[in-house]
Amino acid sequence: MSRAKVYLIRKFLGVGLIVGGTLSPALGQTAKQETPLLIAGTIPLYPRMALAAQIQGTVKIRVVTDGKRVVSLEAESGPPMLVKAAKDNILTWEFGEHKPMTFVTTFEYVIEEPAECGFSNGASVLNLPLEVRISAKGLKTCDPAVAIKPHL
Amino acid sequence: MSCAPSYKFEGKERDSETQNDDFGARYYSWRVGRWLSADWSAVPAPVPYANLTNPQTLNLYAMVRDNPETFADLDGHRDLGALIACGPDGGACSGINSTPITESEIEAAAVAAAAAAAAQTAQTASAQPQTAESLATQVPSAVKSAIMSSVNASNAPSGADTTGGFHEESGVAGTTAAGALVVSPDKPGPYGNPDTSDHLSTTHKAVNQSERDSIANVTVMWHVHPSGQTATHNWKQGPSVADRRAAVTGPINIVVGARNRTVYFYNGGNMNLHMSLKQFMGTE
Repeated sequence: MSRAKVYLIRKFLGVGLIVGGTLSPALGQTAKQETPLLIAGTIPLYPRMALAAQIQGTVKIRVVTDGKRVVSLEAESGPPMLVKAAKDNILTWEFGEHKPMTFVTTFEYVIEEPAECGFSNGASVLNLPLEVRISAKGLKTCDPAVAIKPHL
Repeated sequence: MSCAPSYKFEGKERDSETQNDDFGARYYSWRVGRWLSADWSAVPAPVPYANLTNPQTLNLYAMVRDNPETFADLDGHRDLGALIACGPDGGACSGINSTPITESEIEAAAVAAAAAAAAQTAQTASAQPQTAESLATQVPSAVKSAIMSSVNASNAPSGADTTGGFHEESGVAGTTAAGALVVSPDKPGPYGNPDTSDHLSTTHKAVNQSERDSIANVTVMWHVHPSGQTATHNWKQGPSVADRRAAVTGPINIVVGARNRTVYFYNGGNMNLHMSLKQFMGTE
């Protein structure tokens, strides 16, 4: 089974990844809430399909743990395509031993302007496990002008 | 004296002298129902192949968690659940020696194995070569109508494009989580004169964003390459390099040449299928 487990202290090529701390005005606003220590998980990326279809927004997921792992996820709000992406990422999370608990995680997906011709790497800002902000440049197709060949 | 091997419990060979079963990693005694040696792993681990949440797996002499009706041991180390999770040769079991295997992982692995088998079956079934006609039949009529509207709109004046034919139109179609069809046209792309602009574009920004947001699964993405031209330049009609670069896997990607009235199907690779707009619309 390919677990594609990525430890979050690693920084990967081509993906802006910032972990922990108060790194963005939009983040770091979290009221002090007891949360489990996250020890492993995969990097959340902007889903290509949602980026191509210009779907952005905020997803809220209620996460229930059993003291080690996620045992239940329930979407409170957000576009379904982004809800699925957020859930898929949360399911990769592993925690240190803790008291079983429930908390709400916010995934914010942002498409930035100006759009670029083709996909480019975005940035993921992680204030785990409560807040995640994933941004990516907008995508556009760039269809070229063609010189008309003169009739000979 | 017969030397024919004797295959017993779990199909393993029984040593004729010791009457113990050879599981590869170690011997099993059918008399006492236990391994003759403690479990071991190539990579040192405090309790090899143990699941710390299941005390039964902490016993290095116990077999398949003392539950042979549910689990099987194929190599003397792990039960079948672990093998499902890691592949029958164990070679792909990165970190298996130090990572406890949980019941949920076993269940997830079984589900994944079933899904992979189903995907393999589906792939085999869909191995027939795709044609423009076969793809066209997969596009619902409501989506075809929206594509036709996009072609007409591309040829009609829009914004600075006062003569029409100098801007792109586009859209996205898909289904909601409940399976309902959603046809979601985009806002028009910007005006561009091919004498002075090197490219035209669309960014698939929805006319109705809440409608777009309801799509759980995108099935068709389309855009129109305009018909407009000057004395020296016009717009490419078939899929461009950038179109292929921006293509996503899953939906049917369509570009329509408004000038040559041709429907092109493309992907991120070299798919190059096309048909007339009339044929696509079913009017030919």
